[in-house]
Amino acid sequence: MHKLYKAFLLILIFAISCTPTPKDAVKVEQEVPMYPDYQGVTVPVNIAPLNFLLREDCQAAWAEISYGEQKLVAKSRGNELKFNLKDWKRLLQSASGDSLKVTVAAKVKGQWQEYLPFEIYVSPDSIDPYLTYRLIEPDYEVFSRLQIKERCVEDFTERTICDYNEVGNRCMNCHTYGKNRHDLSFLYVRGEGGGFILNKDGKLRKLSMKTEDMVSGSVYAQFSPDGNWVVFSTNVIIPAFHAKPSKRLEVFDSKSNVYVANLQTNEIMRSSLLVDSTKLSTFPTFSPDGKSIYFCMAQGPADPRTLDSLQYSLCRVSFDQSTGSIGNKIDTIVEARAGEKRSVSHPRISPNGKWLLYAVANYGTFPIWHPEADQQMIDLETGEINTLDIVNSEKSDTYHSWSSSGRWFVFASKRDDGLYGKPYFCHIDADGTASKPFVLPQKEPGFYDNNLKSFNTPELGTGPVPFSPADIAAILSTQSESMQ
Amino acid sequence: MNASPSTASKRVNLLWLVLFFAALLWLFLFYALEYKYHFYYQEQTQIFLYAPDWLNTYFDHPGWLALLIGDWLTQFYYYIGIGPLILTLVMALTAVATYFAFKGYVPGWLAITLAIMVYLWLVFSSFAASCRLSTLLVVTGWMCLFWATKPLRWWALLFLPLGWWCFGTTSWPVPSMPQWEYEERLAISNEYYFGNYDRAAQLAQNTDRPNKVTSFYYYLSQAQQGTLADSLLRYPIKDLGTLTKINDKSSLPVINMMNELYYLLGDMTYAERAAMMNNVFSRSNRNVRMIKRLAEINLVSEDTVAAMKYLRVLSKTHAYSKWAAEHTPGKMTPQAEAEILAKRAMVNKQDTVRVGDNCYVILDELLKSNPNNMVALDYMLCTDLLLKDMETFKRDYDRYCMDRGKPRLKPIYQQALMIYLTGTNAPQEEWEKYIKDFDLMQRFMQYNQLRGSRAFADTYWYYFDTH
Repeated sequence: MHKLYKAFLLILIFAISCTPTPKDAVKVEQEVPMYPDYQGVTVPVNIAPLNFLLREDCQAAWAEISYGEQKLVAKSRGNELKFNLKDWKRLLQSASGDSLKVTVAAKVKGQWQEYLPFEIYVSPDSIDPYLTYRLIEPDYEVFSRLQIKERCVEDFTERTICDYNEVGNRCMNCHTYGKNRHDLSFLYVRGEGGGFILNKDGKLRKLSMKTEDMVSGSVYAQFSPDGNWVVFSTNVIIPAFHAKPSKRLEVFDSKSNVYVANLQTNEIMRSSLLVDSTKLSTFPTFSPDGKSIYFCMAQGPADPRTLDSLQYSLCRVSFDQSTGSIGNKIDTIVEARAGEKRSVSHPRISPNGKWLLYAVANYGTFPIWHPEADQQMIDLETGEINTLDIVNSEKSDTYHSWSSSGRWFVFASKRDDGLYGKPYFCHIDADGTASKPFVLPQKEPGFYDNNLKSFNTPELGTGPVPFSPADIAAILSTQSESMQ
Repeated sequence: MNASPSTASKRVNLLWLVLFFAALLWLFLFYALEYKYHFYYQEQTQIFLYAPDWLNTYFDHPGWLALLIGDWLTQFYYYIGIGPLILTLVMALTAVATYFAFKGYVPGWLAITLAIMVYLWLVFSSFAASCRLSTLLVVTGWMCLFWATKPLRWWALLFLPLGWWCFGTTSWPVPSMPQWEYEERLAISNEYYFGNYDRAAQLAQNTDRPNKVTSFYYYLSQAQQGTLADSLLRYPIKDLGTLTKINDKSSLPVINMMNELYYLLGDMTYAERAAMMNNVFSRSNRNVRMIKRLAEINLVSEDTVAAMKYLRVLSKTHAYSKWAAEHTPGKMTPQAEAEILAKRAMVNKQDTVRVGDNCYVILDELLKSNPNNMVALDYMLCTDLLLKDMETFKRDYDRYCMDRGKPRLKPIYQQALMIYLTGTNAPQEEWEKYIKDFDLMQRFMQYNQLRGSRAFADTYWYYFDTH
């Protein structure tokens, strides 16, 4: 036993002595070749450790994050750096409202080199701790083995909330919260026996969100603030392909209309303004006070030969939550103009009703495959448009959604490789100033390099959703509630 | 003189041992010589990365150990003879474990019989292309566990959850007869993939079971060597693949075929689409052959960041890391660079949106982008000929050969033009403009005297009249 103890001690001493620490590091005038790029980002005080790797052929790596006297060190014999979760949390709590200083060094060809230091600002604004997303191959024409996951952004725990194994490998659409509430959300399982799965107050219901006069079931949908209504679009979606390989996939609607469903009476509310065969109406969302519906509208019908002139405007129509009546006048908030990068999609309004985030692309209704697609934010009081230059990238940046505080939004960005969407978080201060966004941190720094699934429509929630894949399977086996 | 009982027993044991090793040797040779392409298929329709997060994904499944070991071993199927060796050893281990798991509880002969039965069960199961090594390892794992927990006591029950966790209980091998036709298809497809075009064409030509797949690869191999038009009439089934459309109902081999066709033609959008589809429909959405193809496609399309995504994935594999290093932008070998540049010259440069995969439209756009794309030109003209659409053939021939001052004087095109010129009562100057092969002209006149004669079975005139 004594020998065993000695051997253990020797191994421990050997391991400690072998842990790489920079010695005689040469300072280089070079930014840290890190992935993901966390240089100069703003992070919430409750975020998980920002583990990263160095895109450098190095024998060892070392990073020190400091705030005053407090220091947190990560080191490895490769190029990956991971931080201790508990120490990280402690450091972020201390640094809340201030910046962390980060120093990174790498041992390259036997010589330590220290890169230019950088800062990470720790915002005292917490982010909603849960994030849901669908994992899918970046080929939306076909699917197999889909999953909807829920990740705690404060650590690295992830669980499946809807699984292909449980739903017969059917297509499932994204999980959407109502006001970021974990007890108010829905997802859609397609195909025979599928339906609109409503999670309200922890109870699941299956609704058939389709009536005979609709061109399809619901596609894009959002809750009203009181959770009693859902505004949704029905879309006949046509996948198409660009001859130019750099443009890849194009998806457009040949028909699309907007409806409102009463979740208490299972009644569908219609308006001839929103169900018009000469127009394409889609991406509806309620304003936070529930008095308006914002949506995107274009002149139909869509023709694949002239898709580049298909421009969607951002529009608004009034709505009465007490009666379900839809107004009789459409206001145009952001007007589409041919030849300009102004086809609008995915409007989402901040919880305080001040800002409206939307995506703009050169044309069409599927910005996720448009590299030029960016996000913009309009001040609904002044009409001023913020082009969010610090947020956008050379690749597609779309599918944003707000946190419950309105100080954060998450969006899917393809900035790294143009193919695989990843959830990025962006801080918005009280004046509407955006900070440099950062990608959802992962336990293993190489995760995104190896991952072959796209993170689709990320949404933030205040708590874990109260259902499991088995619950979804159980509700799917029941009869759908029909709508009138 | 009679042998003592112990000597007789030793002889029996030795006999069993000899039989056992003979059976293993036979199995190894069978796999290595007769069934080797199934191993490549298994290897290509998965991917194994040396990365912690990738390995973590195995723990999500019951039977993770069988899956992990199975996938880890399967990656070595890439190397000649290693797949057969691994599978033979797995069979041997399973048979031995079964024998020792039961020995002591049942008579020796029964333990041997059970071992033989399990061995045969796994051998026959391994014939199915859908049977993964991990599925066989479920049985191996359980047998090893039974063996390890001998002699059985009540506490051995505690190992049941361990067995379930490590090996699972849901995925048991299903016996199958050897899939010879599938092996043949895989052989042709793989020889093409390995760049052995002559071998692929030869295999397709020598088959007793010509079908759409063998036909497709026969023509693809010919097109790769610029001889599609010369060999169009030589194969009993004439399927170029240009009329095939793929969707979520298509089988993996068909999607794979279209991936190869579009990549050869130079349409990177549709090659990528087919590669993605193949990936999506592969087991666990993982297919290393398609990841490699996606890297190639994006290198050709000059989408460096997308190419790097796939090259980084491949760099973490055992078998493809060297290939990835040789194809990394900025560090590419001259040969790799030359291949990519040659392919890049063929890509579609049109800016259109297509609904559906109409290959004619694709071929037309490829030729508009690069009229020197002879593969696309031959596929277009040959498709016209197989459809007997002489108007379209003539129009395409004019647009991409005559109008460019580059007539493509392949005998089959000359023969088709003679049919068109005769059918339209073309004046003499038209004949002189198009027909340059006067021996063929003579033969055409003879054919017109003997229409439908088998003496002309090698001509398009005969095909046109009789098919």
